[in-house]
Amino acid sequence: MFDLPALQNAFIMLMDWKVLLVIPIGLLYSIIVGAIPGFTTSMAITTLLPLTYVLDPLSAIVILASAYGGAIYGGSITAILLHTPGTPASAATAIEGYAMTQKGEASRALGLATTASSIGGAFSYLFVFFVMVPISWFALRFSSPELFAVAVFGITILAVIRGSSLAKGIAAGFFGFLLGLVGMTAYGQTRATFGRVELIEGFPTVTVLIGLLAFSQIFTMLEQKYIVQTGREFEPNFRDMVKASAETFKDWFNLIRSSLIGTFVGLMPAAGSSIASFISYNEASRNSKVPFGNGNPAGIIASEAANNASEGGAMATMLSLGIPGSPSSAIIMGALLIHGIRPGPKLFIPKDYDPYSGMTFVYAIILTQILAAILTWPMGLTISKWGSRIIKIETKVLAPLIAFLCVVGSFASRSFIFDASIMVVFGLIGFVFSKYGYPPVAIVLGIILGPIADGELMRSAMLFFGNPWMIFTRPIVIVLFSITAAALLFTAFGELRKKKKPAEESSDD
Amino acid sequence: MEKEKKRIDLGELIVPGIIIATMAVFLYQSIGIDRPEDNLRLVWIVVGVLALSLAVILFSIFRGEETDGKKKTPFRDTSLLKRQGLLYGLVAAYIFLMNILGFIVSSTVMLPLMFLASGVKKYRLIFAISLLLPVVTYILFRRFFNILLPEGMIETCLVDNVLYRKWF
Repeated sequence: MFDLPALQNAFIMLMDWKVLLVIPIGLLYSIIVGAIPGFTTSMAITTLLPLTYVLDPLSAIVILASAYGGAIYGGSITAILLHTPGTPASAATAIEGYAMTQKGEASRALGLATTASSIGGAFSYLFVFFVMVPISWFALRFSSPELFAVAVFGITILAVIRGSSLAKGIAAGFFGFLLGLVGMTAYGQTRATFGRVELIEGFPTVTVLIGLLAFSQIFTMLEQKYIVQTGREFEPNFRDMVKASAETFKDWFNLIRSSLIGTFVGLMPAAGSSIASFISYNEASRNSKVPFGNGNPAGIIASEAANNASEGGAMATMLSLGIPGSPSSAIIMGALLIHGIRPGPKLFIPKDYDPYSGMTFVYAIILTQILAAILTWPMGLTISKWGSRIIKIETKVLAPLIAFLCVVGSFASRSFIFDASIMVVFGLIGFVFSKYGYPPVAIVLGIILGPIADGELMRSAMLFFGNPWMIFTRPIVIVLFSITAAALLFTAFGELRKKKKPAEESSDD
Repeated sequence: MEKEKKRIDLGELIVPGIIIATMAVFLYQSIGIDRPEDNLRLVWIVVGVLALSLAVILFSIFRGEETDGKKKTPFRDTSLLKRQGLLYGLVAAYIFLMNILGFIVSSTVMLPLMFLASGVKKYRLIFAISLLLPVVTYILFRRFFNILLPEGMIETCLVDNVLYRKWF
């Protein structure tokens, strides 16, 4: 199972001070950059890329991989404090995290998020460490039909993100789904772009996310003096954060389940950390006795453990198969190619003259990333403690500053003024929708899942010569659709039970 | 949870209205698509979402929805709405101006207005933030992130300035 001499050599490689130094540098930089709205994980990694030219191959990949995990985690800080997810992967965290902040429990929420992120990241790399070869074989079985089934399964999450009624949640989700269809199809046709070049790739997810969740929130913010609801004093507290860390371990089942979901979703090419966090959030909600949406700690644990765990999965697919599972791993793969290292099955074959080859190199990467995930905890808590002071500022000062960041962030993602305009429009949509009980997060989910479901279905149809129903000849698709049906039935029965209970209680009275 | 019957609130029609309008755009656009399978699928999706929005209208407007007893009608506080509207308009104007004046000038002009619109009266704070934030952000983005924010006269001078070149 293990190549012990390679593992031994990997430990020796880690004794290099340069390798150990780049981990905290990558983490610190990416946590801060990841917290800025509009700055995606891939942007955090890209901006570090020039630095890697002067580094040796191991240090280069270590700093980029550390930045990958750090940026995903960093997005959760502003998601919790300001309902402004730094990255799309933290959109689900914003739901429960911000509700906890409003209740004066920001320190607790940050502690939970930091610990779950740290554990999720470490878990995924440990998992990959043990079962790298069989899981890459499994990931290779996933092609268009299976990815379509995963996207369909993701739609069941709408039952959880429901707003004031289930119908409104579903309507908002399908509205997002529809918006996700804008742009070029798998057949090369353009849909609803009105001739705008900027819309050929569809609505940019980051911009839409900033508009719907962050920009719309500043108008809601103005309704009260401070983010923390009146009457609740907030003081950033390190002790509360550490206490919350211990609380995370008490919810161990949720933590492990979410980390596993994250790792497996990360393994699938093109699935990504945002889908991982939504699926995991959905599963946690289905298994929770306390309703979600009002600041449930289990939601934060699920979302954060899964999005950080997806990193390990994506890296495993990239290293073992040479297929980047996400845009971020594609950039890391590019950096490896610059250094003359080609990820893929041949990476595991040692070359006598090259220390950066074979299992030694792979083990060294995995070990450094476990170390990086562990380091996320102290560094994350320290940064969060200082960062959380922001919610002591009055909302009337915060609102224009967040508006400024939203404009800059939406422009920065693609350098189009058009994107900033889209952000403003989606900000208004998000504000109006949330006022009438339609959850804006459901629109985000639709926009993420829409193009995946649509594109993969079209590609499946091409695969089966125009007959998309042939996808049901594939065993994994049948299993995934069965899980979707079971999840829907489970939700429907849960709804019925909830409706029956008050009726019985009132008849007892 | 208490259930309440309520009268038709015209405000409740806003969101289904937005959804239906979007679908109308999609239907209009789908006419121009050449491939019939694309067209058919899109029409089905649109019809599905239309049915869902109608269901929402039927359920949440005519039948009444579950409330926790503290249901509020949105957009009733007109003074707050004015403040929100003003801030929204200023942000939209900021983006429009950014394209013409460049990032630094438009930010320096619009940030103070945005602060005043949201009710900040600490003029020194407004002055300091509005002057420093755009310049620091611009340099940070250009130097560290290699992202060019919209350029106007000031940005060009800043980039061409000898001191800037020497320092950054």
